Amino acid sequence: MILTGKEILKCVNNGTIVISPFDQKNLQANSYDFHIDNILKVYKNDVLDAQNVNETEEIIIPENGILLDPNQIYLGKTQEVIGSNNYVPIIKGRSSTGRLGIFVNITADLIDLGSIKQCTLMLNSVLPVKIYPNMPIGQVTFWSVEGEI
Amino acid sequence: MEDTGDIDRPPVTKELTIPQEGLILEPNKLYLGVTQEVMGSEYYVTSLGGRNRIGRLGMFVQICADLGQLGKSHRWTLEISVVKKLKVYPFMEIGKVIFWVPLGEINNSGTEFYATKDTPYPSTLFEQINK
Repeated sequence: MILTGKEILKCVNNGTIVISPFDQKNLQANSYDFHIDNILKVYKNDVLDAQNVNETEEIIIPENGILLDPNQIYLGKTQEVIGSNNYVPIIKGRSSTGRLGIFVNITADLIDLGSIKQCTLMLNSVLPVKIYPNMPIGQVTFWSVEGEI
Repeated sequence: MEDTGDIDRPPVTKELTIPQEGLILEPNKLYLGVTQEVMGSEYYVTSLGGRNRIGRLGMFVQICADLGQLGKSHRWTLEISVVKKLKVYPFMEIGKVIFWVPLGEINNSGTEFYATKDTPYPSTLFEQINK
């Protein structure tokens, strides 16, 4: 089952879900809006190797924004520390970012139980688009589990 | 859309009508569409996905926001892009809708902005960036 906004709030208050920093204005009917941190990493090589280390370089998103290149993958992270030992978080883009053609994760939207940290974002855009540090970029949902944890 | 440019201002769009004989979608472009059906629930959480046969043709029906919010029913904006050129037709079966059981008290006090829109609606993110 997917947690409602009110249930997410209850769990943040009793400590079973971690979202830090937390601001109630980012709470939606059944998710919480998270923000992008100002650090991105891009791969140095045009051809990636699935079996070897791919070197990256770090980019700081300036206050006046950075233009995403559709032919590049950007690794970013959430500003918020997110996780839970009791519920499975799933990271998604927001409707507002999807409508701009921005993928916030490529295929791995599922976070492990007990992983409580800033979540990695895998950004790619269909069109060139400028993004800004600390902007609301995605939403996290929480799902109840069945079976021993 | 051929260029979203800067999200601190409204995206520039133009309207296309898919003719009966079909329209060829091109890679590196973003198309906003809308479902024919009005869908949604105040009791179950709605999510949308592409159909298997659409995915096999390299078509994304949602970019990254497949999840709806509990609340008002509406026609859903589709965020479409293709890996290879693909001809699509009006009223074709394109996706599927899933409903999830919620856990916890439901807050029906507010309606999400986009849930009041029944046409392909461009992003209003610029309004939040400029706050």
